[in-house]
Amino acid sequence: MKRILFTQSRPPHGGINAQEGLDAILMGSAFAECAVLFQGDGVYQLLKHQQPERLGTKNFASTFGALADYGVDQIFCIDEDLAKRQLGTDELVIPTIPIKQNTVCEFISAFDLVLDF
Amino acid sequence: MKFAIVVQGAPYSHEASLSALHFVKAVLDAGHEIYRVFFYQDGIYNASDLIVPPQDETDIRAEWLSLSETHKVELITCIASSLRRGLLNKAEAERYERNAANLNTAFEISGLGQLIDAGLAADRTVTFAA
Amino acid sequence: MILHTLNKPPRAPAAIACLEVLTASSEDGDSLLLLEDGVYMADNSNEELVRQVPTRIYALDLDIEARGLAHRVLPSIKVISYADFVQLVVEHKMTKAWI
Repeated sequence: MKRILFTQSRPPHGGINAQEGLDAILMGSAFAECAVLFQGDGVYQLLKHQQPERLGTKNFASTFGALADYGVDQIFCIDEDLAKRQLGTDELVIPTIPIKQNTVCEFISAFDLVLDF
Repeated sequence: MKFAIVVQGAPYSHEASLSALHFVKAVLDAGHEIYRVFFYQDGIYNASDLIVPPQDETDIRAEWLSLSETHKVELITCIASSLRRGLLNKAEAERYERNAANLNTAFEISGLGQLIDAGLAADRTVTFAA
Repeated sequence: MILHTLNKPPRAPAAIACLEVLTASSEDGDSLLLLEDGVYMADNSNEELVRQVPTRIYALDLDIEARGLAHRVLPSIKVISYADFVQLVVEHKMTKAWI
């Protein structure tokens, strides 16, 4: 079975990229083994306590918790991205697997396909 | 080799559509196959039949039409991205009781599964994002 | 064997992330293709920035020409056509867009 890596690179709410990226991940889980790499400002998608309801954007952060139900339990973040933003993994809505920046290319190339959002 | 192309940028707003057009033509010129072009996010605006560019600008709508007619390139827009941005075919316009459909006939509206299928079926996937 | 593509100018978040990761972790056979606004990285004012990137770097000719950069391209960066871009995609196992 082919393995797909989805990368989520953009912060939530300012644009719909993050939300539509998540839709693609959920669809991907029906077809293949999927993993997700949150990178750069994409890690802000996982921040706890997001309350966009009054703003009017969708609170899709809650959907990340359902990824495991879809068989997507390989969720990765880059240590350096979290450190630079002073984010601890306890401040994120789901457990993530940390990888080091100096392993990112090797990590990506282990997949058959990467879809970037 | 089979190529899947993902377009995430709106025409004229962003260069992504032009880049994708140049790339698709170069793929075909090299004798490779385009498995599918999937339009996602703002990329779906490429499929609007109502695009009327100024005469001295590239007619991106015509370029996609030509690729579809000449090379039978499959052009698919994501239904969720399309509906929320106001791109409808006749069936969707009727379903949601809107008074017009605006999908260019060279394109089809379909599900996100077509993106995943393209990525898995093609030998290479290239994304042109905004 | 990843073909990294970058379409943002060198000080955009996506470009910074791309350069950091390539500098820290790129492997033999990885390449970076600059397109759209990404080609500004090829400008000779970015020599120091480019020097730290260990991969081969390519820039698309149409984007270079359109922006008036043809005479300002760093000698270490190879200016290529769309036909060459297709060939690069063929030669690499996968393409990753930094967006």
